[in-house]
Amino acid sequence: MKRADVFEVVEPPPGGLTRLKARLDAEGSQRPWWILGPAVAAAAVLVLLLVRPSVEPLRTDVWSRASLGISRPAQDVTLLHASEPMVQLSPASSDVAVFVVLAAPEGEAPAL
Amino acid sequence: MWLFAVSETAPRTLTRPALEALYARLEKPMFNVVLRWVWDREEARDVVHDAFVRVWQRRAKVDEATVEPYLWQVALNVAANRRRGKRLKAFFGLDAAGDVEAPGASSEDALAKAQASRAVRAAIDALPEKLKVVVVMCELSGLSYDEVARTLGIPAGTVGSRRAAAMEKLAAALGPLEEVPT
Repeated sequence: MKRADVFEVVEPPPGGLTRLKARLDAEGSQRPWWILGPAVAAAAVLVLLLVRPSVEPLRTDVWSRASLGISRPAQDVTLLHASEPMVQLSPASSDVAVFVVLAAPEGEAPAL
Repeated sequence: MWLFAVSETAPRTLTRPALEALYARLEKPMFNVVLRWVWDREEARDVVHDAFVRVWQRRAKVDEATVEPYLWQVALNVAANRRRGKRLKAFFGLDAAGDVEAPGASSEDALAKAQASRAVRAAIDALPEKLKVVVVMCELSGLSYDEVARTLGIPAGTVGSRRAAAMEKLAAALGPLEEVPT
């Protein structure tokens, strides 16, 4: 067998340069979609942080009053002592929103 | 490796016209080299295109002066990966044979040529990868021994010894290889 037959030179399919140009053009017009994933994740976290209801101030307020055993001076909040020693009723006003607070043992925060 | 060696002159970023000119020059030899891995004309063309697209994607890091050996390396890597993929598919019975020799040969000559082509393909495929890449590059890339050596990152002497070893194996499989004077 001839060496030229073993390593026969074959003509490539026609239109190679045209196809390559099309691929390179398509490559250039692609958007960097990999940026979109982290951006969406960051936006979702931001929305969650903004929408999440804030309960911490109420808890802090109730805890501080409970631990001190006194009511904070306020215009429309009065600390009432219930018959049950572990329970304190604290109406926000005369007709709405009553908080039930379990008093904790000494030195511990109340369970809320 | 010489690809990333510090150059005394400022590196030139690869431009689109330069890449297209390179393709016009390298299309045929690169197609013929990678064809010996994938054994399918359309796929071989895709491999060459993949190599050029990948180099274009990394053009900011590629110096125009050293892009040619880099292109060859990428093309060889892509071709070897495709070959591995085809072997996996063949292992699971999902792939058919390549189309290098068109089916349906009617005359005896065409049949004999198809048989010879299959024998050549089997002999080249049976070569160890290190020998195959050297002999195919030496015979079909149009590069000199030194250029093949630099492209593959091996000494020129190793290129010569591996090419000779590959030729011996091919001759053992196909019979003595006649040199045709040009």
